[in-house]
Amino acid sequence: MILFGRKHLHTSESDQIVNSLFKILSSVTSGSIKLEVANQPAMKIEINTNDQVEGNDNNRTVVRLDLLEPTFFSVPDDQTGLFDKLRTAAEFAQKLTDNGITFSLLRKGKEAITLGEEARPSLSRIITKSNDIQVNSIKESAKLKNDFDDA
Amino acid sequence: MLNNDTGKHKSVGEGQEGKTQKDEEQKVQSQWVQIVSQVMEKVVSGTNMSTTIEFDDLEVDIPKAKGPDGRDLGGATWKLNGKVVWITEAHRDQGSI
Repeated sequence: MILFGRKHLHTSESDQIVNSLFKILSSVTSGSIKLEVANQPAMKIEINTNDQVEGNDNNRTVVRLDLLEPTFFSVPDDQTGLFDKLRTAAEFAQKLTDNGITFSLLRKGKEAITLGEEARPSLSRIITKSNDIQVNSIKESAKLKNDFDDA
Repeated sequence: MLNNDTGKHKSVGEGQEGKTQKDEEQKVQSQWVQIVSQVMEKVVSGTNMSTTIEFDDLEVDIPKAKGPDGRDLGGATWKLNGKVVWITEAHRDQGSI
């Protein structure tokens, strides 16, 4: 069973993509990036950094990634399922929390999943076994999963 | 059932287990690279397509660094505003039939 096995997409310590992503996230303090493809908005990233909190050396960074055209990011060859992705997200979210980062994933402006520092999971803790991943909307998360699977 | 997380049966074929774990890690990394590269390929190599990246008050903290002679290069804050647009076009190769 993939959910409890070792086959999901781990984020290992030596994962260069994840490490590079954290370096970039810790360098950017504020602002936004928009991606348009064929004159259609495809993605928007908003980044805000709050001042340091007492007792914590890290700044608090909030990253909002809004997939305005999620089907553009579909990866039909991806063999991993929703549980695999959530397990991977749980490992990734732990790293986010350790670095004082909150990552919100939105679908067409609606919040789907929050990972990291400010995630406040309730029922999703049963699935992910993590305190660092919050499913804001099961409906939007399921839609995102379908968008990514579309060829 | 063998539970790899507990480290049971570690003495049996320890070298082989280490090799298998390394192979697994490499496989996992290649999966990540594959997923990212597929998305990047769509963004970069779509034909007859324009792609725009717009930066809006993006502040990037550049940390202090040491130069080749041990000189302090100092840190900086970059502020990015503006658009990068690239357009890809497909052309018929004259040599083709």
